[in-house]
Amino acid sequence: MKKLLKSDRPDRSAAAVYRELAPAVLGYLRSQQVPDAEDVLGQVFLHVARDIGRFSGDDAARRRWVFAIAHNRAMDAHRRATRDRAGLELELSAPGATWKGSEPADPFDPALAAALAALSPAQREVIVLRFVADLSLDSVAEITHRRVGAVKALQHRGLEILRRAVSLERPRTLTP
Amino acid sequence: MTDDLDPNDELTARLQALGRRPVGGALQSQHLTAMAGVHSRSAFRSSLVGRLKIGAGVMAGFLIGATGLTTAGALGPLQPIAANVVEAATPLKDLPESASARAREKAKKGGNPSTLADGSTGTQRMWPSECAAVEGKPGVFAGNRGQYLKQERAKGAAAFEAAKASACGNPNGSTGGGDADADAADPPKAEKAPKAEAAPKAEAAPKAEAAPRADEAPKAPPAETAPNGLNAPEEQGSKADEVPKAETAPAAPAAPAAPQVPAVPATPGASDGPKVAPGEEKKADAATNGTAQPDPATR
Repeated sequence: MKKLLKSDRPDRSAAAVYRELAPAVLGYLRSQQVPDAEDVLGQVFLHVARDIGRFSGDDAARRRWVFAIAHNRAMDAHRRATRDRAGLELELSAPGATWKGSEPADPFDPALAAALAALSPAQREVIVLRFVADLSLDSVAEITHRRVGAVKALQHRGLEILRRAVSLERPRTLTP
Repeated sequence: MTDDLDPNDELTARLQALGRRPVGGALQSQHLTAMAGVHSRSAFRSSLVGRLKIGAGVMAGFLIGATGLTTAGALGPLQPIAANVVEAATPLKDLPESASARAREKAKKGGNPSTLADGSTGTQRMWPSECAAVEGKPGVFAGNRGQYLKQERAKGAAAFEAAKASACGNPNGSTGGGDADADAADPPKAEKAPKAEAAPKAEAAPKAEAAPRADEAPKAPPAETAPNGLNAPEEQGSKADEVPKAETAPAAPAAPAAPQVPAVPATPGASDGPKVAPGEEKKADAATNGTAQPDPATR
């Protein structure tokens, strides 16, 4: 009966989840340098809307569930981009070919984005899930299929690298 | 390492700010519109239809599996029950170990199955139109010949005689007559019968036994040809024993055999005759039994 009552208001529920979590998911996708992050965001929430009738749990669980979907979609997008890039390199090797890739439509905090790009993929993934998606250590460990200790270690090293990069960046920004 | 996460840290604040940047209005409305077209179908399916489908699938699988095993005869001790149920509930017939299959096999083996009054199968019996039905159950006959005779005996001697003369209750294809069959099959009942019914028995006895013996009597050497009549006293004794019985019986049926017997000598000199072999002695006894009644010497 609870399920039925729950599914009586699926529109509001899915829309509410979108309004609450879409900014964080989009930030996560951009931080992960996912190509076409807005499209992937749409795919993530279509998945959410399709399966939200079967979901049961509190807000934290729902947040974890949505970011798990986003994580999987980001992985898919990266794999797809790798395949496309391989195909593109073959095409570019042909004489007269030129690069027509799209620039990021909405660049955000370019310095921080550059610092994140300097991290290893595992460190970047943990840092973004931990601070951009605002998930707990346990949730991050569950999503990334790592132990909590490994997540802590990755987070620690990642933050060190980021701090160093940001501290190096500050004097430059302060100079007139 | 938990102190890595300092909310007042500038780096942490900048990282968190990445996740707070709002989605563009156009993009948001586009996504929400797409979501509205997707979710209602899935919610309904997950809640009710999906479960119904799963339940229906499980049920169908169970029924198909059970029917298949029953048809294959692989249900062991449950096979007869399952076969009868499947035969009753589906168009499938002649399943292994079902009631119909058992009846068919019995018929193949030479049995004569038919449905009795109580619905069970058994030997098919003759019930001509003159046979009386069970009292209070028109159209329902007794289980067999014996039960039929018992039923008719209760109605009286006349009905009993008629029942014995009929073939009611005999197995199909049997050639035995009514009376002989009844007596051969049920002698103790005849003995227990009242006096009024003992008379027919006494009548029947000479018909079946005395007639051929009377024919053979002249051929029996010890009875007729014993020169010295060694066995005569024995014979006389037996005659003496049987006389009273014979006297109680009506004289009519035994009378025809009487004229053929007088050959038995009743003279005292007969005791001097040679000994007779045991087998022949029996023949002699038989002969004397058949001729005991008319013997004038015993009277």
